[in-house]
Amino acid sequence: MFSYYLQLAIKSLKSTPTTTLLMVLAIACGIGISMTALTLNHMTGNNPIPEKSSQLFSVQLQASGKTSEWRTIDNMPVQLTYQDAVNLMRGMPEYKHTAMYKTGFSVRSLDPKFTPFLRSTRLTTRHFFSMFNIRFLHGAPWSETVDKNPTLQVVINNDLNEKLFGGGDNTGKEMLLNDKVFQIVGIIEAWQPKPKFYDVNNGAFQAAEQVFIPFILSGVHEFESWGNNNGWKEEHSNTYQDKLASETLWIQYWAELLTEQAKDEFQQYLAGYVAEQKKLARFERDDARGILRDVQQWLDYNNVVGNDSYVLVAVSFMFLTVCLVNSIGLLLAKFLRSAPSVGVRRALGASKGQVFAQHLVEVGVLGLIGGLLGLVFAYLGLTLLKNNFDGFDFVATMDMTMFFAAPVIAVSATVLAGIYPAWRVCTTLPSIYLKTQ
Amino acid sequence: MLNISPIFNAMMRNKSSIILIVLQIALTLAIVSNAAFIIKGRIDDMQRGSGLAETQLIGFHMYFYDDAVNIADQLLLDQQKVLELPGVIDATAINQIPLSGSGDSWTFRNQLDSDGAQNINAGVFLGNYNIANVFGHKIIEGRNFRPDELVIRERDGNTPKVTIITQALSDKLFPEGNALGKFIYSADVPVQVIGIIDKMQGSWLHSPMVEQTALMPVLNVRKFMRFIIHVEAEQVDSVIANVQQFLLAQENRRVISSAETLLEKKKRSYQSDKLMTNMLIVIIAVLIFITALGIAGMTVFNVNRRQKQIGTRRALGASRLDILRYFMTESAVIALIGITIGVVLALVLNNYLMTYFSTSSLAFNYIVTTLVGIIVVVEFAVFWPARKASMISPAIATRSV
Amino acid sequence: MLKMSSINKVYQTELVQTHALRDFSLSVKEGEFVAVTGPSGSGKTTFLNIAGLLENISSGDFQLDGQSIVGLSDSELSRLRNEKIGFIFQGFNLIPDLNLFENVDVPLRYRGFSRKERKQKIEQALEMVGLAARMKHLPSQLSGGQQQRVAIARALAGEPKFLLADEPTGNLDSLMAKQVMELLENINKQGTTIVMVTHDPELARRTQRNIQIVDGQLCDFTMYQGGTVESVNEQEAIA
Repeated sequence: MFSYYLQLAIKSLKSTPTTTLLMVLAIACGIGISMTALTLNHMTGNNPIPEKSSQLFSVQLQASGKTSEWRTIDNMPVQLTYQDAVNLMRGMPEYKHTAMYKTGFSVRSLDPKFTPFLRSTRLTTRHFFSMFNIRFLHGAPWSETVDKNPTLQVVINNDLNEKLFGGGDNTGKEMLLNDKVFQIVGIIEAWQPKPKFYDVNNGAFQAAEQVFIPFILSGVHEFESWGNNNGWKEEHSNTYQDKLASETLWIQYWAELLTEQAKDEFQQYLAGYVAEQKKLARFERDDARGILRDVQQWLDYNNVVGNDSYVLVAVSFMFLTVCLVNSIGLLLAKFLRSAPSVGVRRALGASKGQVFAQHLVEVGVLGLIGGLLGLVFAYLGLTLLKNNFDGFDFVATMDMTMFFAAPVIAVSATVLAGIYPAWRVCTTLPSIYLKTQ
Repeated sequence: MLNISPIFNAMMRNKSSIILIVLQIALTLAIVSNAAFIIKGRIDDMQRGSGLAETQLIGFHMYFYDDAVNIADQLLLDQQKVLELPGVIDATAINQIPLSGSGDSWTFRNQLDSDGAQNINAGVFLGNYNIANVFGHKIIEGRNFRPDELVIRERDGNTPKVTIITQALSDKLFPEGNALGKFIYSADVPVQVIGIIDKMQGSWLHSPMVEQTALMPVLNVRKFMRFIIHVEAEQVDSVIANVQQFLLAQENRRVISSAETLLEKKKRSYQSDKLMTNMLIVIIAVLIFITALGIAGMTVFNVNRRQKQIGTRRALGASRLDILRYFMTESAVIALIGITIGVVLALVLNNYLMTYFSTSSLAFNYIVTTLVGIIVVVEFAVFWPARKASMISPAIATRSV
Repeated sequence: MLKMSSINKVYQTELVQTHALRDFSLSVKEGEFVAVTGPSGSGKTTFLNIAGLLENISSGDFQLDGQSIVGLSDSELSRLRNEKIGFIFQGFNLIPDLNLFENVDVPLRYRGFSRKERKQKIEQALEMVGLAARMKHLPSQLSGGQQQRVAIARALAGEPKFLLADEPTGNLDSLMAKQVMELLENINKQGTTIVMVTHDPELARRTQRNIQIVDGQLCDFTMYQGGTVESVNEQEAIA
């Protein structure tokens, strides 16, 4: 019967080309725009490390002054001071946890003719790579010893490896960061988490660093932060060492806590640290505390997706609703106009259910055509965005989920919208249409 | 007089399609008025003057990687040298580039004692003593910096002594006026306000403090420095093309980024707003189009369905104008019902947006404008089918099939 | 074939209650050709709709081919309609978007015949009404008489036991009307029961049995003496 309904649907849609075009366009516009908005939202709201999202925690400390105001909903600063970061790293050796911050260097190979270029660089510990599931193509992270004893060792990603050496296993070779010679110990895949969840505060959609060096070098070689530095206390910090001892907040801190128990223990560890610092009168607030947030919570907390994106999704789905209401109206008019034929079919033995099914199939066909055209619209829309706005390259590409979601949403939305007109036409009494006017 | 009651009765007999049109109009009103309001806000923001010659100011950054270079000396030399490029009016090394989205802000107090003081954030631009000239500012009160006031600040804690601030910052720090000559304090460091400029936007265009800006004659020496050049309009492209190589030729132990105008920076900073307005404009345009077509389509169906009835009316003496008026009035009644619901919906939607996305409260004139617009669109959409209806011959009434 | 016992049909609107059929009883035997006449508003249409299972009865009993239809669901009624009843209307009621083949196909589709069976039955039915050559034409390309013949083919394609005709010649000129009537008589001869609603006494006279409905009640009952089709034709020929 389905194929018969399908034939009838196509015949019926063809018989009123203007109405059909109007309905298809309405659905396509609604789907096109809402899918564009949804894709933007979906891609910016992407969880870049779903497999470990609930085991990785951003660490926050309420270490600021009594009257400090922060933009977060719970009035907590999102970064740590250097001294807190260093202190925290000393404890809990059974779990992986690490401080990190962004700096940058002019990067060169040892070839004197090589033109240097700038690359942002992350100072962190060797745990960084295993915590965030980063794959090594060659070599490995630096050793535990290097994390404790400042050594000029570096891990680079493969993009940089290709730019410097044309690719290949170059572990053991040396390269220049500014005027310092570093030894390459590992080459990682071209890792680009979007959003850059581990440091959303310094541009959630910036590229990940291509260079990684031991955190401990910071105190020795005084690599400046290229990220946000948030101060709340009036203090003179002229030299780098001043800054390391200051209350300036500029360090990101992450912990890998695989079990609920690990999380509890680490939470207690933070509480203990806070109590200790309060005793030392360094933490002055009554609500001084440590907080752990997993990746998804962290992305939500920092409103990575942005309000605009949600407003657009809301507005575009209201728009889709209007398009559907519009189509319901036209469908209703169209179906009721075909009521005499329905009356004949009923007389010839079609049940209500069959008439209903026949019309729903027609609506489904309409939704499918509208949905597919809408997908094309969405694709054009996203391409337009990609071409006109910087930094949308990765955002504005529909992933497979969206690609399949669009026609499904379109068909189910239209079928939902078509239920009423189809029901109306199948419940009208056939007899009134059979009499000659 | 128009006869509303038979129209109303006819409508009640055809409830579902009327409800659909009403719903469509209501939703359209709610969406369009809110979207237009958001668009207007963004466009207003984007059209705010920056107080800067955006097309003639170019900026770039440089990074000194070799500790052997005396950065302060090199920057001062660069500033002199760059004047040799044709079209360059003035230049300075600087700590941040306006409109770019990244930079430094300080907190100032209007008195030394922190108790009872106003704490005001401001974007602070540190450059050579000619910094106000580079930006092309007119000093509306007070004076410009003198060459001897330049402070070279390396890791030595040298602090600025004087500042030129914008009127907006002045108003914030000293609401009663007369900032000129007063001291403002960054922590406990006093800085004297020696001049006031009309307007200059800082680096963060979405911050409420965007117009609170201070200039200081400080060369804040770091490895990572920025540079601003003011160029004659017709030479902008050539300076952008050449300045990178030109400066590298002076000293190549550094990395220099390519230059771009502040207008480019501004465009990038407003990108999300542009995206938002573009999307919303498309939504509004398509929405109105679809609503109009939908209403026109429904009227065509209604006219076709009521052909015989219309013919009968005509046969019974209704004029063409009466028929036209009938349909126009019917659609106006429908539009009015839709609008009434739509106004409520618009306020509900706005309330939702305010609660969850901290947008501002919808000005009522947006609703009114949208409302009038919708009536016009609806009547326009109905006019052609209604005219077609008025052309129906009375003879149709007597025809049997 | 058809047995109505004390049927009542009441239409209820907000304002009025109309008693369309009142204590209506009728029995039609298999193979009969019955003409139903009556003035406008007498209940003819209601009778037809009920006989055709398009409307429910308010009270009473109605048996079609020995099966009571009281309390049957919509899909059961539809099934019965599809299998046992063929409809012919005054306005032909061909579906304008479908060609002749597809029109005749409609009841067969709902019956669930295979493609091959359907094709064979459709061709056979159109053959019978002499329109097999035009099966790809749309109804609008046909004359009224031809359209009605297609409608008859459609009604017969599923081989129903019972044919309901509502003013089958009402929209036709006399020549075409005669052709259609002869077709119906042939069909009846082959064993199909026919109930025909008409207000044309000429037409009614050609059938074996005439009944009249007045004010919702079966009011008159006439059986033509020696009422065979042949004799009626003879009478007409003589006249």
